[in-house]
Amino acid sequence: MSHTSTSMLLRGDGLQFTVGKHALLQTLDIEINRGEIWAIVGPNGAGKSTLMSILSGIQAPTRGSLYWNESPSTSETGAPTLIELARMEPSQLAQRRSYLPQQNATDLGFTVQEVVSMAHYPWRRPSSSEHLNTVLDWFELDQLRNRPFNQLSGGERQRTHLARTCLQVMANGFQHRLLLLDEPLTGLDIAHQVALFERLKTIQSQGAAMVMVLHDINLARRFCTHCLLLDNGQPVIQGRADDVLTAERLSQVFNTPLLYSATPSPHFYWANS
Amino acid sequence: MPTLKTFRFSFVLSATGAVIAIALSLWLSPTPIPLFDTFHEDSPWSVIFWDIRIPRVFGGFFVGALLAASGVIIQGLFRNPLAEPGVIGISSGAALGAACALFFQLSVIWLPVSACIGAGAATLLLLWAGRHLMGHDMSQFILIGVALNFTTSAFIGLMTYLSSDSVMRSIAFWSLGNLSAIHHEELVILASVTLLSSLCIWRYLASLNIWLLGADTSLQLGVNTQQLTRIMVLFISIMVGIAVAFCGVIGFIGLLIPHAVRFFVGVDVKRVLPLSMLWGGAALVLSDWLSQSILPPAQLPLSMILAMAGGPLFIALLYRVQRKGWG
Repeated sequence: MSHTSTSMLLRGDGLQFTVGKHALLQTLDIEINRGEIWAIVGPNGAGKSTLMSILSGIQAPTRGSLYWNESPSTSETGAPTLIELARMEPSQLAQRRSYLPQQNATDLGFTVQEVVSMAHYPWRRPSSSEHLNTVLDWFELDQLRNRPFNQLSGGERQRTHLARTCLQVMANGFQHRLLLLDEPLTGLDIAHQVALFERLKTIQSQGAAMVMVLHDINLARRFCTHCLLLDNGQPVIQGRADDVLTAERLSQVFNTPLLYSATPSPHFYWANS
Repeated sequence: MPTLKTFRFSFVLSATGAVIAIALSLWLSPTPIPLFDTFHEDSPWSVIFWDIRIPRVFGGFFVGALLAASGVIIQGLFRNPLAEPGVIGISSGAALGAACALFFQLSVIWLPVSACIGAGAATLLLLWAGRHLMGHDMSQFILIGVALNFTTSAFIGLMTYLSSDSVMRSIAFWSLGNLSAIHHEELVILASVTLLSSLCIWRYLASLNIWLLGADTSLQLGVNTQQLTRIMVLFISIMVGIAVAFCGVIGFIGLLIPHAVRFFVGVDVKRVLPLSMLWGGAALVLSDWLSQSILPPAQLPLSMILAMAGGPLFIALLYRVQRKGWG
């Protein structure tokens, strides 16, 4: 990919990841732009979480490289300043992207507020109580802020991690920031799922980009602008969510008969029902 | 839950407690010294006070502070609430280092240096073993420490066997904790190491807090985990090495004190570390007082006093950690 648009945030060229002889991810080119919400969809073991950890810069790809566009969004002139992710300091990385991994084991007695406040670490400045209160409010953690983390339910823990992940890239507004969420809906009830997507829309409207692993294909189609379909480490197709997610392709990748219906609202359903 | 205000309050309270413990030990343990005689140059009490009790009591305080602080850091580094310099064999590593310096009759300066090297080598070995040999079971990890303890005692035993009488007696000193070897020179070194290390470690405590949440979260939040690990190993080596070089192996302070502190102020290392240092110092000073006053004029080994309280509490802690995790 030689073309680089000015709204580009992160670009991956020829990403591969292998463990021994086993390829967990085969050659992938991807470009994520501001304001885009990407869904990574695929069966279990497709390499979704591996890709997320590579995009976050935590796991280095076996081959290929990732570039971050440093140019501010307003500059339409001149060549964009690209920095290779592998050359960034851990704290530089943490100021630009925020990543919620699938597993977040914490059995310590930190309070909810203490865990969420750790989001200020990359900035090395005292926590702004305004931002902190905003995210606590977003995820309805106000009442729980002094509760020890290890006494929370699964859903409450997930909300705490989501609040921390959002707060981490909030310092200068969400513009030019990337959120990576691996199965963000885990443990959330329907009300909190709806609330989460409303918050994510707000963040998107401020110029951030998002990549998330989703198991709910209907949600991916409805909510995400773009989609990458992975199967067994192989990128099947990527592009606009509407184009990528078709009944035929999904049936094939998931090896399950799926049909598409445009009424009452567009959705996929299991063909055997 | 604790706020900054209650932390300040508990810090002042702990500092006051520590000062009282030090003062009581200085003037009362094991026999009372008349307050006025302390400052009277001709009095024999004055010599006992300034040349024996001051180094022993303050030295004991600093050693206790170092051991408790190293306990906090070791539990953090290994993310294991059961870890402690004595239990997982870091103190034995330091004792082996010290024994080597004695066995090969190196000059005096090498004693603390080789103790630090021994502690560092043991820590690195444990890190390696924890990463490559063991799963996530926290109790299992303690078994590596047990094996390390056995191995080092075997080597210390071998050196004792091969040594002359005088060297043998010196080596035997390291297996039983004892504050009687602290004189003015040792006190100066202990004081400077304690103050310097507690000043230097302050800026890494925010990172250590995040490290406790796990390696993934640390990388996610931009903690330089490799650098942090190296720095923690360095602090552990110096703290445990210096404490063991001057006082021998003193167990359980590094385990019991941090847990007692966490019970009151939560798990934030920024609060746990300073309070643990105060409590650890005070606890060791009081234990030393006990060791001299239970069967006077005999001095019981410090490790004995501490193990009597520490052993049963360790089992209780093991039970708690197995069921509830830590914190």
